[in-house]
Amino acid sequence: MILQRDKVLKALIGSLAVVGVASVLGCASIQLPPNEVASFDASLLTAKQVGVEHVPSDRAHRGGLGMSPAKEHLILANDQAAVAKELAAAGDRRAEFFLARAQSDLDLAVALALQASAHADAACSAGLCPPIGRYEFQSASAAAPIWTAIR
Amino acid sequence: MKTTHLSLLSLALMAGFLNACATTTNVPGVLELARLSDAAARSGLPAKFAPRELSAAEQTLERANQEWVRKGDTETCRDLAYIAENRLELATAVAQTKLDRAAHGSNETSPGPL
Repeated sequence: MILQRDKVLKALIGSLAVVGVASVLGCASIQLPPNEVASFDASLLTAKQVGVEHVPSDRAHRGGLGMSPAKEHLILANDQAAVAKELAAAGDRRAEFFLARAQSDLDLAVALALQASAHADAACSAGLCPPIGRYEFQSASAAAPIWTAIR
Repeated sequence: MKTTHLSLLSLALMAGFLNACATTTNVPGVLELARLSDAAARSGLPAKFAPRELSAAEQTLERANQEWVRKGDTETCRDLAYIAENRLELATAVAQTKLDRAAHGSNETSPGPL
């Protein structure tokens, strides 16, 4: 009887240990704030609608990578969001900061795309339309996307 | 004995002085850049045409400055400075957009040169 009780006790301790280890492993990852993730996803959609990816680069507006600054910030935003997810999976608290960095890059990308569009509009109305290259310019007042690639 | 104490004291003072110098000069580049951008934004277009965006950027810059004062060159300090710099750029872009839209509007309504 005593032997059986010992066995049950040992099994109970063993299972508790397994549950403990599993819960510790489960806690290793952290969850990114859902509101901020949703906000990032919404901004990503806005960036797509505005056509950030297609903003052309010109002599005056060219980033270090030879693309338009808007596109560069979009790439940075996506890269940092990916890092944020990896850090969150690894349980690193810096994940939240990386998501905030990504959000700031994405907001800037959208603002730069809108600026490029308004600038081209103003130039056109002054009779100085930007040369049409790989991309077709559409007025800011046109339906989204503002910048579209010529098919 | 007294000389040893004095030289130790002077060494400690010198170390303290050097340390103080190091902490005031070694501001992370990204924080320095954000401070410069802020100074430019305050006296430029964003102050006039994008005050809300400028204020948001300055709040983040203030947090970065506080982190720097309290804890020095930490990753949080750099992250906050990076975000502040982006927000300052955003304020400039918003201000420029408003100006361009105003110019576009005035050009559309005005008859223009004949």
